[in-house]
Amino acid sequence: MNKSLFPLINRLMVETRFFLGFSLIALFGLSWFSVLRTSWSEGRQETVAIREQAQRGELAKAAPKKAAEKKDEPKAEPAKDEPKSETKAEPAKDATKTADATATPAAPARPPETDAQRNQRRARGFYQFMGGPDMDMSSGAIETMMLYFLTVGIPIMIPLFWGISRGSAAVAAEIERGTMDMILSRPVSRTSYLMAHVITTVIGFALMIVFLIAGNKVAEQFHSVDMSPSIKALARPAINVVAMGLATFGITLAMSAWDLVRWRPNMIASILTIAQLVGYAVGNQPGTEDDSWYKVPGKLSIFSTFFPIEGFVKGEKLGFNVMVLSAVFVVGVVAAILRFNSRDLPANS
Amino acid sequence: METIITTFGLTKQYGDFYALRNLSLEVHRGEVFGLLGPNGSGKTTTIRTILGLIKASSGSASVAGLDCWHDSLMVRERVSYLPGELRMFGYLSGYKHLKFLCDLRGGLGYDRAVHIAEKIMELDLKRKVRQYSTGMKQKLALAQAFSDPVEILILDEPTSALDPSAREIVLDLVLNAKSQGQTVIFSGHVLSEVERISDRVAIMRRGQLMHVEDMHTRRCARMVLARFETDAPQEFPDDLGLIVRRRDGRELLFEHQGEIKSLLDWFSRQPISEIAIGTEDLRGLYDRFHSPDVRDEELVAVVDNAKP
Repeated sequence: MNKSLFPLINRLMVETRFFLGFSLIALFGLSWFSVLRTSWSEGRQETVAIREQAQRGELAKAAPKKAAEKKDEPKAEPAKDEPKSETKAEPAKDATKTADATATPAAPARPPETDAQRNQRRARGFYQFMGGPDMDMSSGAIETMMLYFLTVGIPIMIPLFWGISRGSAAVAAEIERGTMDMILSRPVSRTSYLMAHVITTVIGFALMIVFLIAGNKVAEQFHSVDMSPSIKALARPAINVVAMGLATFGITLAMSAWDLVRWRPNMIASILTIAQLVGYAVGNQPGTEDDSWYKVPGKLSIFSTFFPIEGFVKGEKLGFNVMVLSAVFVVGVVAAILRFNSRDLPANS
Repeated sequence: METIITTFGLTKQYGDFYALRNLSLEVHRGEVFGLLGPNGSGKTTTIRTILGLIKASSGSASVAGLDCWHDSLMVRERVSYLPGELRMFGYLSGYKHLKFLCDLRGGLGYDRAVHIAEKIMELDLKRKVRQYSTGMKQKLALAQAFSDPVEILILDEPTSALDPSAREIVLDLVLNAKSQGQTVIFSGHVLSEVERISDRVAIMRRGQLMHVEDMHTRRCARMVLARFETDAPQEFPDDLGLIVRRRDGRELLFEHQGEIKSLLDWFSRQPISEIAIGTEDLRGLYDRFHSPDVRDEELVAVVDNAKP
């Protein structure tokens, strides 16, 4: 196993460099963006307060005092980490609306720029950079879209895509494109071959955790926020997200070990993942009775082990959730090894 | 001679279809063993079974006493394989491709592979493999196969995409491998090439082994076409060693091995109007099993007649 494992992993890292590279950059950027958005959101609230104070004629005394107090008062709500944005996005959205609603007061005397205002200014610069100078900054819809889609959807989707892609690539894709012969006609055991794929995928997932945390911590150097979470607090939801991808990888790998073409395990795994997501949504409708059949798909879904917010705040369920997801991964890998070691490898189909 | 590859009753069945049927053959150490047959005759299935890529439905295959399925890893340490349908890692350069495949053998043979690829095959190894033509890819794979420090080379249609000069180089490399004690299984469709380099040739048809020919004996054999003034005789003296290949009224085509003098003495006593003596190339032997008018049920008789 050992002499062939490193070259196989090396080749796979080269082969996946663009996919993994872009995924890591995206996760890093999104993590950074979550800090930026938090900083912006906090800054906007501060601005509204300042404007209200200005309207009441209290600005000269209150603004510096409030800014000073703010630094001493940690917020109860977690401020960063993108997977839990559903709860965080709302204040940001409300803040936008409030800011828009109060956009035309009588112009007060210009106060000294607070940290929060500076962050807001930076955030506007970033948005204009992303959307161009003509971007409509008053649009709540754009902000809502960016907050929900970028900070909630993609960080989950990227590990899932990575897991499905690497799982289907391991056996079915190599048979389909005919490169399996080139490798397995050498003294490489089938188990080593599969383990190289597993290790490469796990390395990718580990890097995703690192980049998710790094994006947040690096961004904090540029955008000040009220509460800076610890690396441990950031790691917990990141591990939960990545464990989802790992479980999906295990399932896809097992299907790939049976197949001859890549599209089939890709399609089945994708449908299965979407179905579980839908099942989870159906099973967790508010107001549903506990004994309702609606609850069943929710309980069966692997998304029922996905609690990044809880992971961030407490982490009490994280161990169990990660254990369940890891078990799915291990079962998938073992099934794939058993099947792959006993199957025929036909010439490329 | 020592046998290095043995198959016994090897059968591979997919549903009702037999890709291999009761294949029993032996390959001797140090020989070049030609494997002939049309597409779908079972050559590649035989090779893939030997490599442990396919599990036989019944029967057995072994390399140096190692079971090809259960001891597949150890078998593949002794074997280098050139696939018939080449698929490579296009994103790697020629150098990196060779390096990767050599690293799977613990880095053995890399320098020799580079030497063959650059000096003999004249490849630019700095280029990405995806930029290579089909023939260049084949040359790269051949450089890899011939550089492996193994006992057995299995080449599945190694010259199919090559220009005539490169074909000559490959045949020379095969003979060189043989001179160094390597055993070569050479599967191909170009009969003249197989005939030129092989010590023995197996002919397959529809998953069955039809015939194994010793090429050294064959090169000593002669084909005799005789036209008689009357009907050709039905029987011949046993000591002449004649094997009738075709009978057509007064015309008779037969194969002869052994002393020519006794044959000429016999001819001198026969009412013969014309006679032609020559050799039969591999095409003639091949056509006995694969000409369009040969039917499966006739092959048993043909095979029996072909046995010396």
